Amino acid sequence: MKASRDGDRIVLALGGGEALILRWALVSLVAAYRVPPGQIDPRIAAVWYSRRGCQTAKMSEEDAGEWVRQIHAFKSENLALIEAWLGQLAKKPGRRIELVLTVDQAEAFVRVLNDHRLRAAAEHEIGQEEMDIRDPGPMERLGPERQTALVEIHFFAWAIEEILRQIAPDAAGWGAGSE
Amino acid sequence: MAKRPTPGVVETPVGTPDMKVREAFAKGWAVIVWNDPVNLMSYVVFVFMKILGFTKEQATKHMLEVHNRGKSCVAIETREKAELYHQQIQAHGLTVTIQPVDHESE
Repeated sequence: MKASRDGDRIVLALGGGEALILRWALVSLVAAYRVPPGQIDPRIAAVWYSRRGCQTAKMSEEDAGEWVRQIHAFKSENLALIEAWLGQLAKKPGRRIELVLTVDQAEAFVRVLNDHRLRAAAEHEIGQEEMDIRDPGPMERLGPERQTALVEIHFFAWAIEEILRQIAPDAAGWGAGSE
Repeated sequence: MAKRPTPGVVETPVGTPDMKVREAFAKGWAVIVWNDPVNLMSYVVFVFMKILGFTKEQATKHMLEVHNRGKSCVAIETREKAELYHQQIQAHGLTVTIQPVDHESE
């Protein structure tokens, strides 16, 4: 994937395989955003809708519930955008594809990709130890599903870094290392 | 022994709306961002600049504090403003808490 800027438009040039991976991620995110926070996998809820801060703020159960609903509404605002991106990605399946975003949309795109990384890590129990894996041996011991999740997490990290270089160059440049 | 009210003086009892309003606007709430293994260092700098209005230098300093020390107090604000930051930062996928400044070192 290569990101470039043309005025206020961000152009993402994707290879056929990259576009397929992105498309799959976006489709699965649409499904996950549509699930109410109370019904979503608790592992995902723990990262997307964490109530840890509500507890330290001593919010009432009712206020915390409303707070979570507002975060869900914020995420759901991206649904129409994601559908539009899926439309662009569907035009030439398997071939080189350009995904064109405004700068504002690119910010939302980065948030969405980050949500996917957080979800994949939560679902597959990817923590610091797994994120630090660089050698084939430990990677093989993860098993195929966790390997795939880890590769995806790193792929989208690289994609986020590429986009940040175009929309927020002051923030970019820390590489794809995790926080 | 219960204090007798002074005639002609209206005392404000504990927990009244007046007190809640004062608490809401007192600048004594810390916004704390916590380390996690997945969020990118660049992404955290981006979120700090966007939501908190930090310069590149401020955002980088706080990101490195999160990375090296496990957490960083990114703002001390009124409860109302701290709650807003709390929600915006959480919506961007970072782990964040707010708490009264007295408890910030806990």
